[in-house]
Amino acid sequence: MRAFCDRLCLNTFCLTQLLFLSVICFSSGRALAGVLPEPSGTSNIAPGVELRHWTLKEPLPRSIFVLDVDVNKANVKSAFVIGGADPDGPGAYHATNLTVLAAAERFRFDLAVNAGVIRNPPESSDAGNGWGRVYTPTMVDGHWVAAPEAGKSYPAVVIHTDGHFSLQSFETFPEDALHVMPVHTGQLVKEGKAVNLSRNESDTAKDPHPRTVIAVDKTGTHVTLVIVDGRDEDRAVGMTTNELEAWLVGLGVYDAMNLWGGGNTTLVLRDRPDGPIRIYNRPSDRNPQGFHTLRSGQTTLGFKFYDRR
Amino acid sequence: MKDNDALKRIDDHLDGHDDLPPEKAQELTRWLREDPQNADRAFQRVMLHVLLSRKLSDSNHPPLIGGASSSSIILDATIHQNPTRSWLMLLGLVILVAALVSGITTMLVTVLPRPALNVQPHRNFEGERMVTEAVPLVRVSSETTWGRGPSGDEFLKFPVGEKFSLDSGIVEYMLNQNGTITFVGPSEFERIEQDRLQLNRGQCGVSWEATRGQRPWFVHTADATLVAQVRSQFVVKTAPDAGTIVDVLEGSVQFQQHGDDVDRSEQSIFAGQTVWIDLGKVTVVDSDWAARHIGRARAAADCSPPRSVDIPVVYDGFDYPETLPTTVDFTHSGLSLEHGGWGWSGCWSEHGSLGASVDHAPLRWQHSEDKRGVKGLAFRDRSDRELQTQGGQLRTSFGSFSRTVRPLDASVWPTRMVDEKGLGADGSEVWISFLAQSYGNAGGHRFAFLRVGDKKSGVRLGRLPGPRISFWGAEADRFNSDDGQLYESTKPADEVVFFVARIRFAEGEERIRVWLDPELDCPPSDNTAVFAFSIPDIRLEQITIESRYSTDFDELRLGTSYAAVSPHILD
Repeated sequence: MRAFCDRLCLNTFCLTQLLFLSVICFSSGRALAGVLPEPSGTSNIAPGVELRHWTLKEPLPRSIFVLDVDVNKANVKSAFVIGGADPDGPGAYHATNLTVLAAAERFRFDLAVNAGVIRNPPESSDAGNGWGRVYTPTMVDGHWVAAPEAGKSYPAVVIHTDGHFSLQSFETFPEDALHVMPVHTGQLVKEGKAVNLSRNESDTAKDPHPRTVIAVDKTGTHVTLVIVDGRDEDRAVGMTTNELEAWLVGLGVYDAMNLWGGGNTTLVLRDRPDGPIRIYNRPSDRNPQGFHTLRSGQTTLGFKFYDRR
Repeated sequence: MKDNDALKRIDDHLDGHDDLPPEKAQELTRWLREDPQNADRAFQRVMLHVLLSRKLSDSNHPPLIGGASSSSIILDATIHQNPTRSWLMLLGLVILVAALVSGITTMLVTVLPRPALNVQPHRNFEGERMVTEAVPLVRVSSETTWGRGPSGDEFLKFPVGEKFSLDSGIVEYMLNQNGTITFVGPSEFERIEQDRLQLNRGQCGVSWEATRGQRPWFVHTADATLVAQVRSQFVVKTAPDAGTIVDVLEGSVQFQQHGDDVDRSEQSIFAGQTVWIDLGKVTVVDSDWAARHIGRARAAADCSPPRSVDIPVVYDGFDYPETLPTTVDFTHSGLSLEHGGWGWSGCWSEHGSLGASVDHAPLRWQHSEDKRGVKGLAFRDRSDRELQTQGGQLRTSFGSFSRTVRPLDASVWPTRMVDEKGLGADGSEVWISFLAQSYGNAGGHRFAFLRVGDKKSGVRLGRLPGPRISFWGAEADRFNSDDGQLYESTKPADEVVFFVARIRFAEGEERIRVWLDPELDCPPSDNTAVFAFSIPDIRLEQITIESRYSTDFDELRLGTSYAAVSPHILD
């Protein structure tokens, strides 16, 4: 009888918690799913590239950057890089570690965000300066670095040779694929509707975190990059995937994929043709003094849009 | 009571020469209470006497060797002197006052909040004690151009609020006996108060040796106010809408960010750290990034007299992580995407059939007849001056060929040296230096050279295809052709060579002089050049290191003077 009561109490407690969380998620998602608040700032960075920024205090502090990139514009070129040079040729490693900032400077990007990470197996620490391997499937400049296995389905971002983007789960990759980027947890928005990614996901989806998202319109030629800062109680708490989905639906995107987030979330941008590339967001990793630090071992999605010859 | 009198009275009393009457004791008490430092010093005197007395009262104390001395007399007197009652009272008083002062100070430090940094840019310091001493300018680089320069050469006599601009070159001023400030052109700055510098654009290095009672030194930029309160050495670079970079070489620097939405208002950066203060946040940056952005200013700040303050405009010491050597059987991406040093507009890229690699001491041998040592490339002149070298070195591929290319940044050179076609305007002069050594001097098609020029033509320095391919030489080249004349030395290519070349850009042609292993302390004379020749008009756009078979290259420098490309240390 006592055991039964204990179980009843526990179940009641769990149900109450669940109900409470549902209310929170529903109310916060509904608030975001409506019309988005006016951005705190908007600027045209270059033809075909617009930056919007939200700095919100209520109901929770948030800092969100949204970059709209029109890849139809002749001045806009996109690229995907997996890090530094291949350190061992035909060996097991694919790239040396780079931060998004370092990749942007080396490849002369004007805009770059973190796409994913390369794996640094324990034995790579003896091999050099952080040698790593990419996740499957990864294609760079038309060459498979890690080819997909037949019969498997992979959520991925494909950049086609004509410049347009496709975001979906692929069993067979298109022949005109130029770059293939693996994504983190999967699709957030499909055909304009929230996917509710958190239903299958762990705490990383349910808890608020910094996020990096790529989204496209129906044609795949208008790319939207969403960078959500987090892990900063005073400025930006981050977002759950439910909140993120609501925000993306509010932005009106057609398809959206969740890229790596947390301390990886980084946005670097050159805001004028003759200016330096700058770190626009506040990456959440900090050293003991409280200074921001950039994670290495990143793969990077970059864009060039200034003629800087 | 004066400090010296008070201390002498304490000494005399402790030594038993003064009974310390009540009025003197009161006077001494007042002196002790005047300043916590007085109590501190008195306490130290007392403790010193106590310790010495204990030590010398040991019955086994051996007799002093060497006869009597003033110290032995004093000490003897102390040993045999019984402490008087007033001596004990004084001792107790001093200990009590010192303990009180120490306790109160500790409590204040731990309990009270730390006061904010005194960094108001317009605080009036008139009437405060100014202890910074103005000492004249000490060093100027050979290529220095002022846009609007100060009339005097003492930094502290520059008129407050007047803006100055250093277009090119490096200028150093003394701030006090031990402190210096070094401006690297192009820079714009002004003195906004006695001890406050406003850096509006550009780079400067500060070496600050604070002495007791001296006020801190302030550097203001648009993003932050930096404060050197203790011994410190740091470099600052700033530009509008590009943030402020701070690189601390020694000690620590406090800073306060400007703006509303900033990270914590008051922070410290410590030796070895480089941070970028931009858009309201402080980010730690890696060493390559720091070298690219402030490497030249750091080298200038770190270059202490009597060395020249001439610093190369372009530098790469190949201080990259070690990579596997490449051969016809194995290659990798080589130096692709390596982006160290300064003065470049992009990173290295590989264009040969194989990639180059980076090796660190102890060096690998790749061949049974490899003549390279285990130590890295180094050069000492006949007077034992040693060229500054550090870190790794580039190693070309063993077999087939590697061609490693990096573009130069014309915008970092003095504007008079750059015309519409690029770097190399008529009337200008560029110096180049590097170290090299081949694995051996076997002939055949085993060449190795460093080429500087544009895509069409340039100068090749190294071991060049021809009848004497085993010796270091030079030639003018036309890309992918062999119509240039070859100039050869008698120095074998398997020996370490310190190559120095000077290109004088003249109307219609460029005049080249090359020296091998010159003395490091002064520019070599024209008549000691190993080669002298002319080539058609060129511009310096890129550096190429090309080789068939393994050769090492290191410490690549380009500058506006010989001193800039020959930094050295005396053994």
